[in-house]
Amino acid sequence: MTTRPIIPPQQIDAPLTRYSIFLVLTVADDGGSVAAVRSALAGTEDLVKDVSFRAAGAQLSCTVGIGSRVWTRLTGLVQPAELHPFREIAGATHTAVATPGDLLFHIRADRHDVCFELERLLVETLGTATTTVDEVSGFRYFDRRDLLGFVDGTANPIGPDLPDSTVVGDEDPTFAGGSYVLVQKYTHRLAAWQALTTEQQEAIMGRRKADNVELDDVESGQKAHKTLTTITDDDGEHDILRDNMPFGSPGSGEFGTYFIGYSRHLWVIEKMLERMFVGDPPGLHDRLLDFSVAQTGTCYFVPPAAMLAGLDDVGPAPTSSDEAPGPGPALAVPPQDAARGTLGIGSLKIPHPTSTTAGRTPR
Amino acid sequence: MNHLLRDLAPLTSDNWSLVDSEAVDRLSVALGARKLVDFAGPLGWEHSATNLGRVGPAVPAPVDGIVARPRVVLPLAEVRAAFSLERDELESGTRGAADVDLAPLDDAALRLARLENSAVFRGWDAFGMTGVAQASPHAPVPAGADPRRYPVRVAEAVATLKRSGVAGPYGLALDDDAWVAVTGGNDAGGSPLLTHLERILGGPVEWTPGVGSPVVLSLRGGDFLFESGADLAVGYCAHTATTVDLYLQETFSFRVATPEAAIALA
Repeated sequence: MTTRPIIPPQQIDAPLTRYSIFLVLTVADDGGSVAAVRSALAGTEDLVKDVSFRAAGAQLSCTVGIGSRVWTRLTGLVQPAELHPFREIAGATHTAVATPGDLLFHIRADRHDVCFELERLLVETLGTATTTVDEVSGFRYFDRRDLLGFVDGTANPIGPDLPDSTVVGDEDPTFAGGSYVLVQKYTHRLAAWQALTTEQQEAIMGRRKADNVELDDVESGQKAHKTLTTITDDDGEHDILRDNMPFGSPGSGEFGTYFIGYSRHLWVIEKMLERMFVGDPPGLHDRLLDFSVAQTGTCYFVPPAAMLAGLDDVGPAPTSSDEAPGPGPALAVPPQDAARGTLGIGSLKIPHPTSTTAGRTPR
Repeated sequence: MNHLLRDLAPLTSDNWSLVDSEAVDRLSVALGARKLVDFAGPLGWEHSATNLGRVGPAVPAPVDGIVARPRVVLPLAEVRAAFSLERDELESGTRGAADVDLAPLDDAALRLARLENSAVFRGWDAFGMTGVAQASPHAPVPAGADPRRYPVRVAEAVATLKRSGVAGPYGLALDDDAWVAVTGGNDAGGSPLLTHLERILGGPVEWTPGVGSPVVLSLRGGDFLFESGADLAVGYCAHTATTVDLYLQETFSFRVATPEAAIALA
């Protein structure tokens, strides 16, 4: 059997890899930049092929997310049902900050050089149309542990549950096949964490450290991280797909975890954050946050591959001859689409970081 | 073809791209209000009114034993800024001229942005819209003549908002003159006035032509609601042998949910 080296574009459940890069960009406001970004996004698939063909077996994949602020200008479409800028969640003690970010590139591969090469080409193609606001290189740490020493990502859905939990379906037909993605960069107060006993750490996480086995949920009082991030309602348990990565630089005292969650419903991830930061009951926040500080927070919609590749075919202000079904546009645009034919300006409000500056390590 | 009738205009697709991108460039700079308030939509050309969720007083019904009350809605304003371009100029564009004269479009864009900013901050009686500054229950902070005193006045305004329980970040909307004074000046302590103000606000200082007096408002969201029907677009009206008449058009409504989340400087 020959190895097919290329993972389909925008496949959110691409294999868990040894390395990944999380690149967050903002798009300049002028029309020229928006057009340049549109064309670069449509060409992402080709760039991935260019790189992965040279590195067979490296499992290179790239997922692109587009933020609410630029969605309509870039795609000429109405916003997906749940898409909106990251909403800050302020608990009594800790805050999930909202920071700028219009585009997310989630680059995964088994080789760091391959991730690097794709990022280099992407940034080169986008040129001055975008500004990098955050860039994190993550790596797998032993048996998929975070830098706190615990195994991370165990609760991911598998089998038929995976698409059910992560891919938009008939509830939003225009955007069926896409996903919502939310990212946050956390930095750890590692020394304080290591001062705890293993039993204290296990109580906070809700898992045994050595063998990753879940502890029983407590019935009342302070709940474990594992319990707070389990969302259950009348429809059962709502899962999300995580592909978190540790990152760090011991020389400069930086130790972190980059959280990335893909979901069919953005509200599920937001609910998890609310339970962590506000607490359940309110006031009893996730104790993990006493040792992990959210430095960034952004969310995006991951359009299906055909929609992304078709971006180049649809301008923001098409003349009406484009309305006749013809070759080219891969987008299924409903005729009632309200943004069509406009200049696509929409909202110009950008989320502003409040308490912390993105990318800075806490004291 | 939709209501904008763009296909009937004597413009090539390159002409249209030029006109559209020029309009986007001009509008994105001048639409200060959109950088400060919540935006919903666009909901489409057919969308005509904003639901306020309220009913009016009972009205007489033709049958006894019926209670009839009218729903209260806020109509969308349909606003249009017309402009004419020289067909000679547009034709030069098709030959590759880099300096096509689009000044009438630039004027129209600024007029429309001024109108939108004014409606958001100063209200518009004819449409029943109440503006951000109009709605504020706080007594305006006296700004004085000296822009170097702005940091103190803005800090006072922010303090008033905080006392009312309105969280930040905050933004500041400035009209032409005040914006020039702030971006060009310093605070007499060596730091640019703009930097100083942004630090106090935790948010941006926006050029908002049409706002009138400066306004400090919370950007936390949910307080000021701009609803777009048909978002800004360029449409076609008529042409002669030498000119083509186009227009910029949008429909919108604006309402204030939390009057105390803003304060004016007088």
